[in-house]
Amino acid sequence: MISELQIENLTAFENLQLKLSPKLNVIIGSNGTGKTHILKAIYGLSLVGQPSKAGQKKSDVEASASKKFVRIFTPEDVRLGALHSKGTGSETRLSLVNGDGSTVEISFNSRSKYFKISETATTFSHSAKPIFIPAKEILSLVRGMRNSNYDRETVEAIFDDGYTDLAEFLASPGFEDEASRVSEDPRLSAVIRELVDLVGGRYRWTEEGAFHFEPGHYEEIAAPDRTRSQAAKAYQDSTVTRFIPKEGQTFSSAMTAEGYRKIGVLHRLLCNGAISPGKTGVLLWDEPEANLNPKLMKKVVQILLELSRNGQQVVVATHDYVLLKWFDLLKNNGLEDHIRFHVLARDEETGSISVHSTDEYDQLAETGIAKTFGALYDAEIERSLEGVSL
Amino acid sequence: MITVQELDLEISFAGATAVINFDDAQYHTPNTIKRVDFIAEYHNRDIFVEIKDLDIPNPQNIEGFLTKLGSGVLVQNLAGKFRDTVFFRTAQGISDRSIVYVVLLSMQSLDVALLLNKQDQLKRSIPIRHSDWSRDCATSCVILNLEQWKRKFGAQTVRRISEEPDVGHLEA
Repeated sequence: MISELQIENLTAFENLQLKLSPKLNVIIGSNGTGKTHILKAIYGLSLVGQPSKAGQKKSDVEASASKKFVRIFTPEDVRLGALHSKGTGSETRLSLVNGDGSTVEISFNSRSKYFKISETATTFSHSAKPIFIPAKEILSLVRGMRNSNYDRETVEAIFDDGYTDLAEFLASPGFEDEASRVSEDPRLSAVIRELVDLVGGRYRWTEEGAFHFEPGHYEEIAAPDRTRSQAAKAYQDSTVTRFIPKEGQTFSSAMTAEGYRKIGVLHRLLCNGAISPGKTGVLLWDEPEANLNPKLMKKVVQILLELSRNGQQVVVATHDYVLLKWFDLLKNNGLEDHIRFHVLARDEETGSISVHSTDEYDQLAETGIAKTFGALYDAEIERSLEGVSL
Repeated sequence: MITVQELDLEISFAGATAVINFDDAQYHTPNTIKRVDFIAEYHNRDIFVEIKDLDIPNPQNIEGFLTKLGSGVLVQNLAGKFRDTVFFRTAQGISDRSIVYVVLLSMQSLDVALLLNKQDQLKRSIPIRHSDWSRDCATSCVILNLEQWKRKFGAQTVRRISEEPDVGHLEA
């Protein structure tokens, strides 16, 4: 669990401190305020905090971690120093504070090739793997990205590591064929079932190394081996959850709606354990709203809340009003939901970015999102009441 | 300048020739027509004003109001008030004037996206126009929050009584 991110002199961030909720965090800001950079900074630092191979020299660890860090920000071949804020003599410093007080810190300047890592004791929270879901959908691209016939360098020149890492996670084997494990955590399996219901089927990894969409749904059925006495005793104990495919063909994932594929990504990551609330690291999701039908947004928010109730720390970046408002409306204090909103704003004059965090939706400072609707409303009133005065 | 009061809000109509307190139970008994709070008459138009103020000190039944807002009952009510008031005025022989319907909905926790949406619903519900009508039944219809009201009509046109300093009680 991550409790705090501190940034000094990284691109447009001069000095920023983000205190994170252990449950749900929503980063809000217009384009160009660095929402994605914050997610990437958290992701990159979490990876730096992963335990390194035994016996590896510190300088080697720093070199490979630096390369990785830069690749998370851009697929282009740039130096680490390019991430340093222009026009400042001070070092760039980023640190991540975990819930147990341990920290990971990196520092570099504009001429640095590699950063320096200083960290306090490696703990469990360090080693919990983070997941970053970028704004663009990649379920349909996984095959191409991992195909060994394609030139690796070309793939890496197109996609930053946010994408290639996710592709690897998506391709790791899932448990969908092993129905017994679906019921492992009844609350979580409910989430998986909901995701499948939402899009009317599931994305399955095929032997050709691609995702196919299989229409159908999950159903709880009697375990084939249950006895009469078991049936009388406890229904729950003697059922298994099975996927019931709909008659007919499966589709290549590219043939399905892009919004559905985004749901499919979440489904897949839950099924293969890449997201496992309470065990894996923070889930970072950039613009979940991109290409999503507004009707699906309520469900996505419900699912994120459900994951957070199960112990999953989530950080979402958005500039969508509908998504934001659903977070406010669906938050259930009775279930101990906790949502922290972080509003990023760019100073018109200096260009530097500041953050305002609050746990209360009502206390949100003017967001670009609210302003957009404000402008619509103003224009509507202006048209309606032209020339009218009291 | 004609000034009227609706619970905690005082509203001033600088250019009106008359302001009718239309929501007067005694005047309307025993009929059950729904009515807007005020009709402000100007030389060429009428402004119908309906006030929903949830920002008064100790508001009653906010939950009930939110339920009505969410279920669409509030929009139905607002539409009904407009229609019945137009009916009453037409029967009075006042039907040649243009009408502006202004709902002042003061509730700080409601955001403008929601007001915008309710306003669209209200226009559809009344309805403002119909393919078989020769003209629209109102020239416009808006739902304003307090801030927007002040911006559009001027801050001096509305006053929240509970927020004023209690100058009357200064000791001599």
